[in-house]
Amino acid sequence: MNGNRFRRPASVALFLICIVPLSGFSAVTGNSGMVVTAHPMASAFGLEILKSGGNAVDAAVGSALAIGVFEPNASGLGGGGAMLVYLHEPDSLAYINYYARAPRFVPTDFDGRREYASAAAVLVPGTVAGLHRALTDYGTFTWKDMLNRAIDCVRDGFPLDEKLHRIIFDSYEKLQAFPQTADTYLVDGLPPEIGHIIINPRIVHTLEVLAEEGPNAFYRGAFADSIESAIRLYGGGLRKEDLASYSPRVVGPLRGIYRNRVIVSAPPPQSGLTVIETLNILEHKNLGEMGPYTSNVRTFHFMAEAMKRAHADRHAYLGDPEFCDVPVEILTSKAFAMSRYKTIRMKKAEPSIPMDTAPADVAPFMKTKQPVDEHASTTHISVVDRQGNAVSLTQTLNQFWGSGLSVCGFPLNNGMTVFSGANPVNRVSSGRQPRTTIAPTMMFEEGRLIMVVGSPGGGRIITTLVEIICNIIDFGMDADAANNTARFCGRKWAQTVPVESRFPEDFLNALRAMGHPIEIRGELDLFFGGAQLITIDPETGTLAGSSDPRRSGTAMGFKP
Amino acid sequence: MKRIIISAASILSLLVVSVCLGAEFKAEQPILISSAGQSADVLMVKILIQKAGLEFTYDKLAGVDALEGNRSLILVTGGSAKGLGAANIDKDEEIARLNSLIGAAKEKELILIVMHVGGQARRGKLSDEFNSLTASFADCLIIVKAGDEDGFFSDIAGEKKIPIFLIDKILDAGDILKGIYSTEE
Repeated sequence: MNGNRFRRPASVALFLICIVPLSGFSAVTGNSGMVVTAHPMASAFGLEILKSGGNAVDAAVGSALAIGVFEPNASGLGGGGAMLVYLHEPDSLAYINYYARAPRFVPTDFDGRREYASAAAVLVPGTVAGLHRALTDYGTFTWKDMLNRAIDCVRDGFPLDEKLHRIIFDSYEKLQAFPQTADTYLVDGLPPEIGHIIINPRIVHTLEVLAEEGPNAFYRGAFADSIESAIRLYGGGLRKEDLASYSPRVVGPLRGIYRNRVIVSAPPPQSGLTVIETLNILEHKNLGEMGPYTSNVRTFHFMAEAMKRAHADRHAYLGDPEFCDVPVEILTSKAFAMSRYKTIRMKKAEPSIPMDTAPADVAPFMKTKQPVDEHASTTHISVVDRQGNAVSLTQTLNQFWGSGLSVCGFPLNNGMTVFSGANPVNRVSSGRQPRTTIAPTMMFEEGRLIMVVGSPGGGRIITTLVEIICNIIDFGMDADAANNTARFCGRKWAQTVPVESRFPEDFLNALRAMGHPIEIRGELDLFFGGAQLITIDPETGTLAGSSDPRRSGTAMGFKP
Repeated sequence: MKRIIISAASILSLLVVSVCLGAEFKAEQPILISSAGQSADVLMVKILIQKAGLEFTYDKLAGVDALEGNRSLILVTGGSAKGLGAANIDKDEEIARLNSLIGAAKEKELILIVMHVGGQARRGKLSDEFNSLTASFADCLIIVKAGDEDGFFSDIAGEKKIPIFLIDKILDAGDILKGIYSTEE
């Protein structure tokens, strides 16, 4: 196929950027396919792939390649991620975990607070291998064709929007510390102005080589040499051998039930189990009758308490299942959720400081040793195609711009910061993946797909997903309302309960009186992630897409 | 209608006064550049001053001793919790440092230029503590307009009769600084 035809959608997207304020409010419906990403040009590219006959996996891989260029702070070839794939025929699910993993030589004294912007923070990137694996196993396009289309999409660059402009400003210290990064994203050493066209010829060249030589060029060829050279120059430990030994993990996803719907989400070391545990606790009350958490103090309180407990259990038990036993079946069981529910008092926050929340002891639930269930900073892409196939994909550089160090046109991740030295289940060791909060998720009702969702947002990903699911299932909202509604976050490792400023003051005072240490943040705060959501009407098949207004994204769908 | 015309005329005359005051403002080198609030914005100003070819020293945590030998002090204001954390100080320690630095600069008769280049992101509770502290003592303000949408800096400038340059983008500050430090009349 001739990739030149893909110049048009990029131009169209550029036009859209010029005429549509980047508010992010983008409720869209369609029947034949939908792509929702954090950048309009990545959504447009994915949609064109669907229109040209590609399936959901093709569109997701294309959008993932494109968004690594258009939203370079959040993901890209130097990072990793995970993808939940649903194939309508033969009604099967697969989970491709291509998250970054530790190299052979890991620093024993790594200090994430001091060294987050350093070569020592870089883990072995998984994006190229993961996207290649997805395309090979589940896509219809060839790797070469996909890469050529992506090259045409990104070659002419993209205009800097207000949100990325702000992010560049905020990350200036990290960007200016590494010459190639500064050269790509700064102009004369300063943040470019809104509307400036960012063109990245290095990434175009990298994609051209990958198109011709395949992913081996990245893991064993010239790029491996370049990555090792840059890492050595800046004192990091990652070597070519680490790249050569990387492969994605293809496993079964986790399953749970919430109010008669099947939740399918990310297995360890990613955080689907915490989404499921939280929902299992919430199921013990009729939230729909209680009313939305934005207007009912008891609902907010109950959800915050459930979140705190599930996060404490996550902290205690979630790690890389290849290196530790994760009691997945217990943590996602209804019996365990009941025990956690019983600890919640409806009149008082306990403990008042979320950080003090203690995990539950899983031993009483352990009849026999549980096997690990093999069937069981970031951007998100949701796709549904006309055949009913779907992809929920979250990918990341860990923090915005990762380590800050760029090679061959892409920033390298700083995944080392996600390990936690003090906690054995998440301690860094050679070949290990850190646990992460990413949780690409889908929901089914009576066997039919009704929701595809995921979000970036670090420690807020899980709570954002739970809130969106409750907004739809319990409070009857449509996709856009569910996504735009004010957010909050109850989690371990926080002194406060952060909330968006749209909650009324008397409402917050009532929560304070119950013991919640409320922290007011922005009105639509990037802190709470950027969910990309598609809902599917089980009766009509109508798709409704919503891109989070907290990011710069767009939902794009089409009808026959 | 008459009231609108009078208001518009008042605003216009205020702007003209500000621009005129700003345009006449002069300072001398060498310059000490420091931060007020530890945001990365100070690094951008450092780049601008480098490009302008001005003589300067840079110390984002400058104490009183660093003023020695300098003729003016540029403080780049705007708070960053991350920056304060990285510098291993809290807000109160930063305010104490700024109070003594500004006090000593005034005593030594250095010109104090306060720059705010971070727009809305460097406004808010934390930032405004640094913004109001530094702006009130400034001899000149250079402000990117996005950070003055509510008139925060313009009001201080008007009240204290401080020359103010309101600029569209940070890059414009380069020419302003060149003009301020130019020896030509």
